[in-house]
Amino acid sequence: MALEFISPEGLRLDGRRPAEIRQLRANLGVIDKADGSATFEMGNTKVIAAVYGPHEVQNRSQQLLDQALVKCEYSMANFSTGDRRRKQKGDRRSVEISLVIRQSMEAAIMTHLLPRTQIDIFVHVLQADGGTRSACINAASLALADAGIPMRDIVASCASGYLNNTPLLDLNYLEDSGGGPDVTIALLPKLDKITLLQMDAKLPLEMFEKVFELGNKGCVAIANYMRNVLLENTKDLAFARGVVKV
Amino acid sequence: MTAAMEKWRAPGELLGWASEYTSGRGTYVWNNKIYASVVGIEVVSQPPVAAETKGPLIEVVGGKRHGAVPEPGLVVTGKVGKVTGKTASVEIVCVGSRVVKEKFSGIVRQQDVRATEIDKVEMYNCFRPGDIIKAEVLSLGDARSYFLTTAKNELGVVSATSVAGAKMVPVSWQEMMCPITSQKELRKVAKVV
Amino acid sequence: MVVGLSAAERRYLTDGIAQGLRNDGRGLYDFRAFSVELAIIPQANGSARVRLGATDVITSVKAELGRPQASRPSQGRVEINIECSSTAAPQFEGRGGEDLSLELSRALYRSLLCNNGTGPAIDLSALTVIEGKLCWNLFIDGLVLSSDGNLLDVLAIAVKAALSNTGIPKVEVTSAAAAEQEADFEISDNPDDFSGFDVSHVPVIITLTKVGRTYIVDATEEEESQMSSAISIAVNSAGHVCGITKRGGAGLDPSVLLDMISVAKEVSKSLLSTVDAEIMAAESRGDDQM
Repeated sequence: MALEFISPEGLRLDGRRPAEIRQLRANLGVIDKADGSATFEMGNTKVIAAVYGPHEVQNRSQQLLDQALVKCEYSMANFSTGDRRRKQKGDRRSVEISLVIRQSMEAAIMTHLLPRTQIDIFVHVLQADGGTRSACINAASLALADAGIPMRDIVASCASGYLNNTPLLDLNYLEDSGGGPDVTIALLPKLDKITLLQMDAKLPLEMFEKVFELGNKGCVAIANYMRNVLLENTKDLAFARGVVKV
Repeated sequence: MTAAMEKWRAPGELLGWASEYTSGRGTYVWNNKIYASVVGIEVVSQPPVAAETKGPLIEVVGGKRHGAVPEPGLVVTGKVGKVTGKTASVEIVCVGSRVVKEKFSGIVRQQDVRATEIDKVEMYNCFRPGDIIKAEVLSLGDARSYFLTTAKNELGVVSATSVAGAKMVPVSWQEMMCPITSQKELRKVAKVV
Repeated sequence: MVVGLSAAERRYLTDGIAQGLRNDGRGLYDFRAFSVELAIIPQANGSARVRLGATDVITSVKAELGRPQASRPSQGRVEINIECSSTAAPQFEGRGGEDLSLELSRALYRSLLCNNGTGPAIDLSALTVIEGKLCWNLFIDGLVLSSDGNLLDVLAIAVKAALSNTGIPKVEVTSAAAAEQEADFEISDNPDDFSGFDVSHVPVIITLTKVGRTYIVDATEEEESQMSSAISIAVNSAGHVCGITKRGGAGLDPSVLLDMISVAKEVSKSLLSTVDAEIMAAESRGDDQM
C-alpha cells in the first residue's frame, strides 16, 4: 500500500504545503576556537559547521601556488539517525558528500586572493531528517562568511522532489525514502549561478523543469534568511564594539 | 555614524557599476559590476591618488576579518629558527599588528639581509636562532617559505638574548650588548623609533 | 603548527598559578560556570548538552533490546563511546582524534562502570527484562564539539545529565518461552510508562592539573599546555572514590597524590550540588516548554 504523502486537502505528512520549506534556524559563532562557525537547522535536521583558516598548507605536496586549497570533511554523529549506527569516518557516503560540499564552496570562495593557504571546512551532522546535504552547504556558507573569507556570493542549497504527482520542496526523511526522485540544488542567488545539481531516480523532463524551478525558489528563500542572519549577527557585534570605525 | 546612515551588505550584493566606482577592500569586479565579497558596511570615499580609475572608492568594511596571511609588502614579526651560511629560517608569528593563529614559514636569504655590500654578509653575524626579527615580505617565495627581507633601517633584530641569557640592548645597527657581561654581539639590528 | 604561548605568556601563567591567581580570575579550585540542556536529541532515549566555558559536548543514551552476556544473565550492558569532532580542532580531521577519543572513552568507562560493568554508578540489574534472555543494552555516545580543556569532567557531567533524562520504555512479555525459543514481547509506546534512572550514584570526575608545584581544578587549554601531570578522580555523592586516572609524564610523590585526592573529594561536594541544581533547572525549563 503506497503511503499517502499528500493528503486529499493538499497537506504533507508533517502538515506542510507542497511548496513550503521547514522551519529554519541558524546561529553564528558557536565554536570559539574556530575562525568561523555556524549551526543550521531545517526542521529536525541539525548540522554544525566550523571553518579553520586561512593558514599554511599542512601537506606541502598539495599546495596550490596561485590559489587557496579548500578541504572539507563531513561526518555524522552516532546519534544522528533513528537507529544508532557506528559510522566509520571515511565511509563512501561521507567521502562523496565531503567532495560535493567542497566543490560547491570552492566555486564561491575567491581562492585567488589567498594563494598558498589552506581553508578547512568541517561539518558535523547532529540530527538527520532528510536534506542533510543542503543543511551542510548552508551551514558551511554561514561559517565561511563568519570567518571573513571573501566570497563571490552566499551559497544556498535546497532539495526538492516529486511524489503523488506533486512537486515537493524540502523533503524530510520519510519523503526522501518514498521512492521518488530527489533533486539537490546549490545556488549563488545574487549571481544566479548553480554550483551543485544532483538527482537520483527517474523523472520525465517536463516534470524535472517544474521540480527544478521549485528547488530554485527554495534556494532563494533560504538565501534571504541566511543574509538576514549574517547581517543581524554582524550588526550586533559591531554595535557591541561601540561606534563602528572605518 | 548613525544607524540610519549605514548600509549593511552581505557577499554577492550588487554595489554599483565598475565604470562609476573603484573597487576597494571587501569588493570584487565581475562583468563590469562591483559586488560585495564579505559582510560589512558599504563605505564610499575619495579614490586613492594612485588608482587607475577616477571614480570614488567603494569598500565593504566593519565585519569580521579573516585571519592574517602574509602578503608581499607587509611587515611581519617572526622568530629565527635555523641559521645556515646562506639563509635564515623564520617562523612568522605576526603580520602587521595581528597575531596569526598558525605559524607561517619564511626565509631570509643572504642577499636580502641588508641594502649595502650584500655579498659580504655573514649570516651568523646578523641573526642567531631564537632572535625576534621584523622583516618585510618580498614575495610568496618557493614552495616551502615566504621570502623575507630586512634590507631597511627599521627592519632586523628587535629582541635577542645574549649567550649569558639576558635580553640585549642595541648599541649600533651592527651590535647589541649584554647588560650583565657587557659583551657585544653582532646582529643586524632594527632601528626602532 | 598552532602558535603556542610566548615565553612571557608562559611565565605569566605559571607564576600566576604559583601565587594562586589564574588568568580568568578564578581561584585554584573554582569551576567555570556551566549550562545544561536536556532532551536535545529527540530520537534518543535521553540526551544532554553541556557548555562549560568554550567546551561544548553532547551526549545521548540509546537503549536497545538484546541478549545479556552468558556470564551475567541478570544484568544489562552499557557501552560508552566518545568521538572528538573535527569541528573542535583541525587536528581531529580524519583519524587524528581517535587517540584522544579512545582515551576519554576508556577513562569514562573505568570511572563510571568499572572494568566489568559492575560499578555502583548504574544499577545494571534494573536493565534486565527476562533473566538470561532479554535485557536492555545502553549505548552512551558523546560528541565533543568544541574543546577548551577539561574534557573528562565535562563529559562526566554530560553523561550524568543524559542518564537523568533517559527513559526506558516498559516491556510487556506476552508469552513465556521455553529455554530455546525467543520470547514474545511488546514495547510500550506510552511515554508515561517510561522508567527513569536514579542518577544519584553516578559520580562526577574532578581533574586536578599540576602546574609547577600547584594543582588547579578545571584547567583551560592554555593551562593544560603547561601542565606537568594531571589526575582525574571520580567521586560520588557518598564521598567514595570510584576511579582514578593519571595522565602526563612527570612523577608524583605519594603524599602529594593523597593530598590531591582529598582536595578532589572536597571540590566534588560543591560540584555535585551544582550539577544536580543545573539538571533540575534544565528539567523544569523543559517542563515549562511542554
